Amino acid sequence: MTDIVRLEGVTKVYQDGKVAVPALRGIDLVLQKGEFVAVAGPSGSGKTTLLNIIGGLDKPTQGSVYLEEKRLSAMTRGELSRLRLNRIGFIFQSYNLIPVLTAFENAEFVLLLQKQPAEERRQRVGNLLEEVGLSGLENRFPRDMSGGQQQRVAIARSIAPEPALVLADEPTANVDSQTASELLDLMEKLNREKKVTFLFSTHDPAVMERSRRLIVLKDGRIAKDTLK
Amino acid sequence: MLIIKLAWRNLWRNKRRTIITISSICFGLVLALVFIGLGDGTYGTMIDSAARLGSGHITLEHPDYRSSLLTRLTLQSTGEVTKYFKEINEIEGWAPRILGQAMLSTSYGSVGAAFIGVDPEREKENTLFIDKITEGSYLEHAEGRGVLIGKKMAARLNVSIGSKMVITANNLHGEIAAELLRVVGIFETGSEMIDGYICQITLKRAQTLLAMKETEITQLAIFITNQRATERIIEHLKISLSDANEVAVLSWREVMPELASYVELDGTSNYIFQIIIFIIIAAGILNTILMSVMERQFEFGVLLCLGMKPHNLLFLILTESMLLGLLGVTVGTVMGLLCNQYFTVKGFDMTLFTGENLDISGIALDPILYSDLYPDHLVITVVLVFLMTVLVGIYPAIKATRSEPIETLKKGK
Ligand SMILES: Nc1ncnc2c1ncn2[C@@H]1O[C@H](COP(=O)(O)OP(=O)(O)OP(=O)(O)O)[C@@H](O)[C@H]1O
Ligand SMILES: [Mg+2]
Repeated sequence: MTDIVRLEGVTKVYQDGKVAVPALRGIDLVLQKGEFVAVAGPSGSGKTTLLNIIGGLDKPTQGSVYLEEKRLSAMTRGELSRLRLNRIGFIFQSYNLIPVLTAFENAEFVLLLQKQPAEERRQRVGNLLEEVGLSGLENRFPRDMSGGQQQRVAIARSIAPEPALVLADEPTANVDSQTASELLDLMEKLNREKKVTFLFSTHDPAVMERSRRLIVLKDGRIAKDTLK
Repeated sequence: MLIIKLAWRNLWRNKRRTIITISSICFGLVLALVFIGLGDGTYGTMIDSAARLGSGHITLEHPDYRSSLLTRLTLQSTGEVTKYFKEINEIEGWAPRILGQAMLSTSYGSVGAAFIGVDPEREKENTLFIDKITEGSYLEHAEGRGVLIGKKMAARLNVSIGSKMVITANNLHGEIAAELLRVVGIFETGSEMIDGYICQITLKRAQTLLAMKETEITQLAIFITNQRATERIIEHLKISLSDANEVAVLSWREVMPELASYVELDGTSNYIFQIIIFIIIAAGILNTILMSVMERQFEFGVLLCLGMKPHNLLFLILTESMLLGLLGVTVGTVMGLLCNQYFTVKGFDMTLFTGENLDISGIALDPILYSDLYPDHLVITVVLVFLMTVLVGIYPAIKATRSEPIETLKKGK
């Protein structure tokens, strides 16, 4: 198996006024292609910070992050933006979708930024929406969809460009447990069938259950890393 | 394409705000176009009336006449010059004239006066004096002894239609000459100077009085269909007349410098007023766009996270303000033109504001102003307003690109 993400001695210290807030205190971590990983831990343990650093949205104070063997800290803002566009999918907790675009257009958005040809976009997005169970809702706007449906669109959007890694910060935090379980079914299926690598953070024990690898953070350190 | 679609839809997210903003652009543009249109119309009317009461839109005379006002500096080649007029369509008519200073006397008294010797047939088509006649009629017989005087002068000399008077002047030989005249008409223009000082006699009578040859005149007044064409026709005439010596081609601007500077000055103050309106409206647009940008920081963060480039975000906001401007300007232009059309036909009654007649540098104005928006003024104003909305969008656009994607995930919690 190939390494997709590698973190070496990553620390992150936020400066909150005059107080230094350590969020990560030395993380060594390797993610491999096709993994289905959950990051758990109490509030403030550093889950979001970890995901942001892996996604190139934030820079570590110390240590290195490699994505597909490329060192993120060596990249410019533009290169990071291109990396996110082509290699990383993002799913956020809420308000994920662009409100003025339909389900189809939202899922298509990243492909448009990549300047994929129209036919290619139409086919890929059509298939994906079917796969996430949204056939017939292509022309709905986010405000006319349930939270679960919106997250399905977000999932479709995140995997549309076939990224190396999908980062999801508490993707199920805003939906009921039934919907959460269905979203997990979906991500699991995509992981199994399309070999999409997922890294998601969660508070929910039921969600942790479903992961195949569980990383528990505590005070900015990896307290437990179990492979099931 | 994506950006235009996004921008267009973003615009309609807050319909009320967008409509208010478009209305304010529209309002400003309509106001500006109406003001400019009325200004253009008023200046046009003023210039036209002044030209038709005075020496025409274009005046031909001896090159040294204006500086010395000597009666002997005459134009000799009228016939030769006027044949060039046929090739210029805009020339509506022309009239030969003799100008001079004289004394008018009756048994009641004498007053100094300026006389204009005219060819009644030619004048009838162009001059405004005919419309200003309150008693009697215009000069009729080219050979006659008729005189047309202003109401003020008539009062001063205590004359009425049919009264006799004597005109006395120095002729070209320096001798004092006199002619007997009979009042045929009395005019009232509203101008103190014209009504109290100017009289019209026939060209023939003036030539006899001054002992001039039949071919000699002081000036040739040219009337054109649209005063805006003045400069262009002058260029044309100057080229045609470059061989003819002793002919100067002057525009109304040179003949009536006070009027020219008044039009210019008043036009400038109009523009300043409009710029103030624009600035107020620009502040409103800036506020709208800035607000909509601030509200969407989170969304911009998502876009940046997904890999949208900051400069694309800049274009997005600029496109939004551009579309806003385009809509405002389109609707504003249509409405502005409609308003102008209304004021072109119906006019704008100034007596509502002034309560009395208008008088600008001695020229009595019709209190109803008619709009006549010049096409180039329309284009300049529309382009200016559009550029302003785009310009105003720049700051919020830059602000939007400063959104850090990282903030997104934080606020997402
Ligand atoms: N911009 C910031 N400035 C200062 N401190 C910050 C900043 N962002 C995060 N922190 C701090 O870093 C630590 C880790 O935060 P982080 O958001 O990664 O935790 P988390 O595990 O995602 O928590 P939660 O479960 O509540 O989402 C916390 O103590 C937090 O207060
Ligand atoms: Mg978090």
